[in-house]
Amino acid sequence: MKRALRRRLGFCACAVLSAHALAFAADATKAAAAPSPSASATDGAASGTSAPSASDAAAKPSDAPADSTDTRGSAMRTYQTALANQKLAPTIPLSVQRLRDDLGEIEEKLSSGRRDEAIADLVYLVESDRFEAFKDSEEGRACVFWLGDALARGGAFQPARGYLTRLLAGSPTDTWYRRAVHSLVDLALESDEGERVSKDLSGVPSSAPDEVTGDIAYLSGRLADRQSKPDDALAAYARVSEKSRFWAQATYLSGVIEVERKNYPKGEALFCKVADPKLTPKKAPLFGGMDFFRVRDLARLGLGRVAHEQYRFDDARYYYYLVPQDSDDLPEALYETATTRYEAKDYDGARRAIDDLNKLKVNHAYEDETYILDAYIDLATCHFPAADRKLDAFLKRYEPVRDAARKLTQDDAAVEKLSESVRTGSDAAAAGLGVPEETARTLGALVRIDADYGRAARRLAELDHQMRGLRSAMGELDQASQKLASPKAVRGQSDTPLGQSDLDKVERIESQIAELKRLIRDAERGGNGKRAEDLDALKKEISALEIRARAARAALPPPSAKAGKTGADLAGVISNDRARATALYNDAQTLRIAVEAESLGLAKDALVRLDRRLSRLLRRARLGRIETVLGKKRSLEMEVDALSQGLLPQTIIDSLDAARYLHDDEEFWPFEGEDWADEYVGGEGVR
Amino acid sequence: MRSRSAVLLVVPLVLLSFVALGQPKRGVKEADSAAKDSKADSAEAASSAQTPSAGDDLGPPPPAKPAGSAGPKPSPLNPEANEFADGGVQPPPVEYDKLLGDIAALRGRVSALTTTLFASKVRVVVETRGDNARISNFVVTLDDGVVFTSPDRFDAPDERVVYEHAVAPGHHTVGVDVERFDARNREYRTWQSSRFSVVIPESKLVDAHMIIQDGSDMGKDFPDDQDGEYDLRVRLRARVQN
Repeated sequence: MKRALRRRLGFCACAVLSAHALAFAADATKAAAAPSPSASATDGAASGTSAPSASDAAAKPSDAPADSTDTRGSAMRTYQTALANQKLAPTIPLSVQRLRDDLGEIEEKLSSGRRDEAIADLVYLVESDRFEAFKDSEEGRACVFWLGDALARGGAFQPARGYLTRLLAGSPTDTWYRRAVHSLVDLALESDEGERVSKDLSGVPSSAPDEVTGDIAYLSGRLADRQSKPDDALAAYARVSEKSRFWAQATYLSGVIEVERKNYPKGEALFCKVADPKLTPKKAPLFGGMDFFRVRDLARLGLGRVAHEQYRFDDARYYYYLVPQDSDDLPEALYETATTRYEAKDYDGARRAIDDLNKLKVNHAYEDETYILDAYIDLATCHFPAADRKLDAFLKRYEPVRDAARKLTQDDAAVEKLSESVRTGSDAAAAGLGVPEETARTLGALVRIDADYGRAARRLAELDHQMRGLRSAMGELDQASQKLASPKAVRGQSDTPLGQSDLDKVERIESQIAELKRLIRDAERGGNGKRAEDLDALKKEISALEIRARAARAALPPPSAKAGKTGADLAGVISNDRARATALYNDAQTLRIAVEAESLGLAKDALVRLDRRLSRLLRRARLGRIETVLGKKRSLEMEVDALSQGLLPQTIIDSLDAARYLHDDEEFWPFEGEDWADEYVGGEGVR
Repeated sequence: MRSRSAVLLVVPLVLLSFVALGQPKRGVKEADSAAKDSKADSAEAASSAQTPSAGDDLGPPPPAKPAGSAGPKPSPLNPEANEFADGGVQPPPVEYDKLLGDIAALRGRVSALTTTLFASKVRVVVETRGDNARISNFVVTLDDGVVFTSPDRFDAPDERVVYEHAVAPGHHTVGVDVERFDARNREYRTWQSSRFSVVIPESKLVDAHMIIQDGSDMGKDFPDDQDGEYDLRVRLRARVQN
């Protein structure tokens, strides 16, 4: 139990406390579920052209070092100069009122998910020479903040840091200063940029408002925690004030560290500060928002686990009981209540908790373990037939799930589909896994996708999103070049029919192969031995097709551009950027392979761990069935012993009770009428 | 008498000699058993490390419990250590952040450039209809570059602008990829991909009004009488704004 306790607390620490930051990156993650676009237009425009080498100095992706806060604004200013030279630069002067009007539209775009458009509008404003006069105004700082924040949400951390740190030159009491710190801290918690952001924030004075210093202290604590420096982490968490949105998280994590050190009273006191409304500072829920209440539920679970660890079973039950009915953690609380009562030998209490859990009728991550515990409670209360029935049902239900988990680890496409379905919360039965619907749903409920997978998937999603946008940008650059070459020309229809580019075709082939694999899994499920031989031959054919599809994808020509002018004029700048875009796209494709492999590896790991868990539980179920047989035998022996001593077993005594023979949906109404002695007939004349 | 005492002495001696002979050679056997133990341990470690094969019934054997550990015996229902993630996600490659920053910056300035260069504009407006249809995934493309990806749930009972930007005059392809499910029964899902070619005149704004309609009754009728219908429509009306 000790190991389980520490592990579980650790799990909570990483999975739930990043909830705020997870919301921060939700947009980028969602993009992963989007179907891949084809590239007919950009590819079509490029397909007939010879690919120039990207050896030009301008085609180098960037000269910015790996750790940089360069906003890449100089490239935009080159455009501005080139446009001005051709008298194409905007001539209408900027004004505070115009900035204010534009900001309204930009904020509306950001709130409706049109982030890329908002970034473009903001770059247009902020990287203009005309903006210099307004950069320190309220509206100017707002523009810089929204640009940095939007870039950070899109995964472009380097330029985001560049814009956000600009705002740190002002007063710490300024709204945009504070918002920039919040945004940077969110970025650091969610990304791997923690150390760098921490350096960026080192200039924030200690006299800054509590909410600002609290954010920074919390970030320091999390970083120290990641580096396994618990003392530093505790010191940092202690600096988070109640006016910080992270007060509950910091206090809870301090409790986790104390518990890990086996300093239970201190850990418990810290958990209590969050869990008990009387001990919580009044302002903490106000500043903490919705996350505060999620952490409060966790703190109550933590208290229960600490009490359980110390064999204070009644206290543990009380703490678990405090988790509210509408909490996401309720199934966990009920399951652990049942475990606690079982260990306390209060089998009725354990039974009630299990019944409450089953009444929720929700899929949860403890479904399988609940089954086993339920049966073991029956075993403990000598209800051997019921225990046997439950264990048998468990074996019938979960053996196919375990087998399916093993099979799916061999199929990358299926693993991806399942992981995405679990991560996005969609129905796993509709993911096309090629396993029975019920098995797919059970798999979806049991696979415990950890925060690491979420981070890896988010990286992939961000990269995909930017690559799709880059395709669009390449098309726009081609159009811009064409416009400069012949201003009156209009864009012609693409030579390639819609959806018929090489990339489209390869993507269709890959989806067909994935579908074929699903059909084979379907056939295997319903097939007999003879058909399995035919399926083996089919599988070999599909493997060969997969290799060919991979080769076709590798042979796809990279999107390329015509060799254009070079130089400082607009056409030259556009041509340089087009070559740069091509080089970036090729680099991104190479990087994507590595990022995808990592994400897939983590998804497979989740399935392998599920296999291990189910195998353990299946072994436990089989042992339990042996115990039910032994129990039945022992109860028979006792019954025989009792009979030999003249004692009738309870089952025989109760056989005279009419209510015993009723089903659950029947009711026994004993005769309650009056007994009229004078109407009694049948006894007259009997002597 | 002497002969009897001699016999009494000889018999235990003979028995003792047998006992001595029957005992194992201490050094050799201990080494053997240690080797066997280490082999068994390494085999066990290897079997616990390897992934169970599909033909294996119960997977690898459980890891060996440390003998004689202090404290109460842990519950057999406790999970094993190897059932938890090791939390060892690798940080992204060094060039990842740089590449993403470069791409985002390039996209931003290209977009700003087209705003300056082109006077023609396209605006994509979306409207969704269908009481029981829920959109789980919604992507709008322009010339097959993605220009809008919906948040978790997309719903636009009233008109909603999803994209508005300057484009080159001439032919463009507006596309929509939409994934829907029936609110009454989530098992009934549909995926639809549509592409529309539109012509944007010089210096004009074209309003591309897209209506995503779903009148399907599969989720309600099919489970009842095995007869249902998907009725999915994507309509686009392009109008030049004067």
